[in-house]
Amino acid sequence: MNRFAYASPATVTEAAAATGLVAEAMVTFDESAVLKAGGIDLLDLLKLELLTPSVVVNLRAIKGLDAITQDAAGNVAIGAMATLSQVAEHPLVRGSYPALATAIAGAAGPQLRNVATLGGNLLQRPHCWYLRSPAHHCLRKGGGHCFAIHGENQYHAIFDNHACAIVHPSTAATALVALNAEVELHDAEGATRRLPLEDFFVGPDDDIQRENALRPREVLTAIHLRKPASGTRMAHLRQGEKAGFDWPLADVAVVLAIGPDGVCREASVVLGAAAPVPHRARAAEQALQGRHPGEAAAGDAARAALRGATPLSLNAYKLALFETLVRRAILAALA
Amino acid sequence: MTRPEMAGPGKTAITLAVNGTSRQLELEPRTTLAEALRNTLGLTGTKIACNRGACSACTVWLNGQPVLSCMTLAIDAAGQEITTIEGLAHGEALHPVQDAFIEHDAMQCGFCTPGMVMSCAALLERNPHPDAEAVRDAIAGHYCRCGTYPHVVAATLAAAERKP
Amino acid sequence: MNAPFEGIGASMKRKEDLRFISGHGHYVDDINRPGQLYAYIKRSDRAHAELRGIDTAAAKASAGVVAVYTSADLTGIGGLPCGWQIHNKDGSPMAEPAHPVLASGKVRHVGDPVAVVIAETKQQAKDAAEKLVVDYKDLPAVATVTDAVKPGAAQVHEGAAGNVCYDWEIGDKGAVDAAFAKAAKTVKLDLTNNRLIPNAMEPRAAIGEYDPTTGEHTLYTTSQNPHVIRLLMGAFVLQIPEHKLRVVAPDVGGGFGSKIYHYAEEAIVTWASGKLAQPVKWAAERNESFMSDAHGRDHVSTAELALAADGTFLALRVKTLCNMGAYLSTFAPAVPTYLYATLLAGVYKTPAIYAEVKAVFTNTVPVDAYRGAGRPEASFLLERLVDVAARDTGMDRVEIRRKNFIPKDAFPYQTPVALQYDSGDYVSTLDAAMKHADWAGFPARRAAAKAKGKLRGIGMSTYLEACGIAPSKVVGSLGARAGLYEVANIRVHPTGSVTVFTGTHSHGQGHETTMAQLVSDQLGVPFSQVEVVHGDTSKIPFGMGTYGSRSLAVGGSAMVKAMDKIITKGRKIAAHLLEAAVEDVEFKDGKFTVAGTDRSKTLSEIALTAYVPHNYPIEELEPGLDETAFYDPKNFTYPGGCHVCEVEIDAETGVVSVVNFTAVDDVGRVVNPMIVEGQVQGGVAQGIGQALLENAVYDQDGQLLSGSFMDYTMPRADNLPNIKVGTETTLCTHNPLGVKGCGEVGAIGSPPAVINAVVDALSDYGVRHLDMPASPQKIWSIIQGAPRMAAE
Repeated sequence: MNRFAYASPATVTEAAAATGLVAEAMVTFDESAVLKAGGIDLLDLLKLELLTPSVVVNLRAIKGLDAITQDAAGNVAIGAMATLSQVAEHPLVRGSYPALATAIAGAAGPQLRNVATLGGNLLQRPHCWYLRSPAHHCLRKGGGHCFAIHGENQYHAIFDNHACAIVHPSTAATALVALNAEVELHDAEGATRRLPLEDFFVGPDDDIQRENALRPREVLTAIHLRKPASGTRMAHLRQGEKAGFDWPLADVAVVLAIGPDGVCREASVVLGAAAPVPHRARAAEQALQGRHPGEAAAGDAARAALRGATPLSLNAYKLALFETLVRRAILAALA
Repeated sequence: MTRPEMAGPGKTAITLAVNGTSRQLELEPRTTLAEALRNTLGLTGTKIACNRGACSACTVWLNGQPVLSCMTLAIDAAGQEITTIEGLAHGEALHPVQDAFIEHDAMQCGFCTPGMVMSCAALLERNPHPDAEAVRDAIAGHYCRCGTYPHVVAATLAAAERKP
Repeated sequence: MNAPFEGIGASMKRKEDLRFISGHGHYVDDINRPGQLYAYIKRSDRAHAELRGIDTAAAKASAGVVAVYTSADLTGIGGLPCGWQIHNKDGSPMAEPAHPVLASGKVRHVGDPVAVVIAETKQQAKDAAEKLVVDYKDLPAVATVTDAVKPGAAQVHEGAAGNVCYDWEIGDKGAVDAAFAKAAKTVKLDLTNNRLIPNAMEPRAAIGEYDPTTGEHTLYTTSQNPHVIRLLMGAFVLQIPEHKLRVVAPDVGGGFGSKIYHYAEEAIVTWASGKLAQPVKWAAERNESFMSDAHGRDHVSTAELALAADGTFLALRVKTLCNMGAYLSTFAPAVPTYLYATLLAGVYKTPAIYAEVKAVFTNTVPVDAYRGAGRPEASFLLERLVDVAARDTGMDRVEIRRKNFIPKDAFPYQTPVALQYDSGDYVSTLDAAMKHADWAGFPARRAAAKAKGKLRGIGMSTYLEACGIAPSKVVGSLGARAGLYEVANIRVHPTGSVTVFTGTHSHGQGHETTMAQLVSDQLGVPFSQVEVVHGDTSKIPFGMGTYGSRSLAVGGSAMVKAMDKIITKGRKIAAHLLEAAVEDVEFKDGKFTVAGTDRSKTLSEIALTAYVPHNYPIEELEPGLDETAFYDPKNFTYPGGCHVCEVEIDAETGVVSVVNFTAVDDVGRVVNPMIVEGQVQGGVAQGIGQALLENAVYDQDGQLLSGSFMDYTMPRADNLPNIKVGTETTLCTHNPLGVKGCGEVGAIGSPPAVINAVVDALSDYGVRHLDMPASPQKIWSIIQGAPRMAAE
């Protein structure tokens, strides 16, 4: 870790304005200041010296950023600084968004979940071993090419992987995109904007050196979830090489709105660890909409979910893994 | 626009409350809690094995919650109650989890042990009667290369039995 | 009232645990010496490059920096020695390239040390190291053994043509060829043994300290064998005479082999602390452990078995390529030869065996012994081959083993590959393991699993291994540059308590407990009155350390010899006090008794007399009760056993779960059953790790990709089933305790049992073999036949 100064602003606006600040996940590798939420991924990047900021701006002193609240209409807002433990254990989350609670409860271990925040989790950088290796000057770090595409790519993307084959590291993001969550962003002038989480993530085709749409002097402050329609069913499943404390090889979130007639009105099927951003499997969603979901529809949707996949030399196994997880997640949601 | 107060990058005054005692330290902001405990306070019971949040050997309690001291800046721990392995026993009397670890041969080389004990003891504070699954989840982030996991689970369950 | 049983066979709680459990363990990095400086090692980030120069000016000017050293500064310092010389088929010695303490001229692997920065704080040293400017000219690199032996491959060392370190053979080639020519059936299998990274939880660390007034150097180091380090570093690297060099290895947080070897950092801190006359500490960060601790395994082999029509093994032929890494680590050459090929008979009476082993240099971290060392490679090859032979010939996996076992009345048994086994009963461990694992009930469990859509398989290994490598004369003739005996000093204090000084070490095996039990048992002294001391060359006469499960078999036997001397002397003192003939004095349960009488003296009384010799046979006997023994074993010990593994595979995801594991081992006499269970479970955990999870991944350019705990996957709590441990005992016939060793059996027996179970689970898919680790990727590819391209 390089030497850095440490600032603890009292308000979000102050935090956004304090320096030429940018959030931890969108900085290129030599930015002069970074925001620190839980700090887990940030400390990792600092220890690898992939980030060498002059100032670390601590967000933990800002009051209220960890609140989990429900408005009169039943919509839920989760403060970006709420820890993963707080989110996973919160009755509002467990009650209305069990797939999110599951996705988060399976992340890392309890010691990390006690510190890591939901905002920081969404903004963590990918865990590609080439990206995190100081010895590999990859495309995302301003180098000439993606080492994974013709290298050791067993853990890499099977969609949208022609330029850079990272996978998005957050299982919470998989669930939140499936839940059509929105993020609230706060800038240095005190203005806020909201946009769908799905649009917030930036793929390599749009910008190879960033993973989200956070602007300079902007802070992610909250995640908004709409009240689920009645008849909403959901599930999140993950599969790692190990059962616990491992990056998933594949994770899947499914959210289904089932009408009183048993017909699926709306479906969200999102694959994590599949693409540089959480991958919405539209063909799978279409395969479910307007049908009575069951084994047959789940199987069709699972097959459709992999349509357009372009596996690399070592990760074709992920196709079967995802197909299975999608089918099982649909059935788990219905169960 | 007010600018927030800056500390560092040089040494700055940090007060840590460790095992019930308030300690005044001069540390660079980049110092981790694990480094402060071991190198500045001489509390070497807390171990650093990976220094990257992947093995949990450095587990301590912040306000009673188990956290990784290698992934926590010391400056972030200011104002919170820090408990380390040295502060777990009450005088001569070991914590029930410590007793049970000895009884059930739940350690071999002993290096991951302090962190493992802190995690298992924290579990029992929160959930006095866990099942084996809950113990495995509490230690999901730990590495023990000696492979004592089955005995750690047995010891923690036994400690829960013994706890009033 | 009887005293509680504390001797051999009791599950005594461990003496060492109280300090570990309370955070008061005393590991190297917990030690800080007054005025201590910190060293940071600058390591190569290139796998292979010319080292054209290092600009140290900016680093030297950096805050807090005391010194910066490169190889140019290390004048008069030798390279790191290799402790074992292997000879080629043609009798010529192996290629033995220099292994400089700091790289000179070239760097040969990522992690090769190129410079050391010494500063007032660790952070200052690290910050300054960032300012070193190293001028490299990249060279082509080679990372795998198969690439290294290709024509035109990059050359790691000038003196090793074709990257070959040695090309060695053992066994009777003619007899094997003849047996194959007339065999009814032959079976062939290509297999690899995956490269592993030991990853003891405690990173390596070293502190050098120098006292200019006495000229004495002290090295605190994370070592399994402090005397070996003193010998190698003192005599070969730094030329410090032993009486001026003290090596201390305090509590050691796991080693598994990786802390046997003499590493550059030990020499660096010792030398630098002498030069600066201030203590110098170095402590590895985990990423340094990955790129500088010796790795393990890494074999590519072809194995062939010739069988008679009835399934009798006629001959075995093995050809192995093994990876030495970029330099020869301390015992590396011995591992794939005398700890591997000599074990290829296993538990079978195969009459003819021939093995060729070619050791190869690559641009990777040096490879040396890791828990099991050679024997896991042999057991994996053999136990996979036997399963494949059963499959290819249509025989039952159990029956083919029973048919070929060395029968229990055949001992001592001379194998065709040099070893002579002293004892064993392979049928008893097989029967017990099958019973505990409910082998007979497996078909019902398989059917039940199938009903839930899971593929269930069962597999076994009937393995054999060799511990306590010895005797010195034999290993010397085979190329060892050290003796392999052990030393014990037993000091009975005037009031009867006992301190035991052992030349072995403990990095988690609980020797402070088992060795105290042993001494308590033999001398009749309460367990609480026995203290075991290890790990300090200034306290212990000499010793070879702990590895190869030798500590009890060799170190414990040395204790028995020393205790024999104590008892012999005690009988003389007792005879004097009791006015009896020495021949009439018996020693039992801590008492010297005149046979057939109730006249006796306790050991404490004898000890007090020995130290206060007022009424004492001073003409014939020296005062004191303090004896030392050196014990050089006559042979290896041969633990063996049967491991049974049951797995379930999710056919849709390829994920393997170990659902049952049973280990029944013959480790000889068991001193502490609780500790044996822990040792076996720990070994099995590492074996399951090798079989299912662990793999060191290098890219083509020699960069280690799996260089962190998140990328190199080891077992965690949720990966292990309940591991059932049983023992069936035959005693070792040539050591006084009958012990064989239990530290490695788990890691040796389990990998083939796991893979045999996985292959069994996949039997419907026509699978004959798969290499470790059995990752979901591999299983799924097998299930799917070939990688399928994108749907539709």
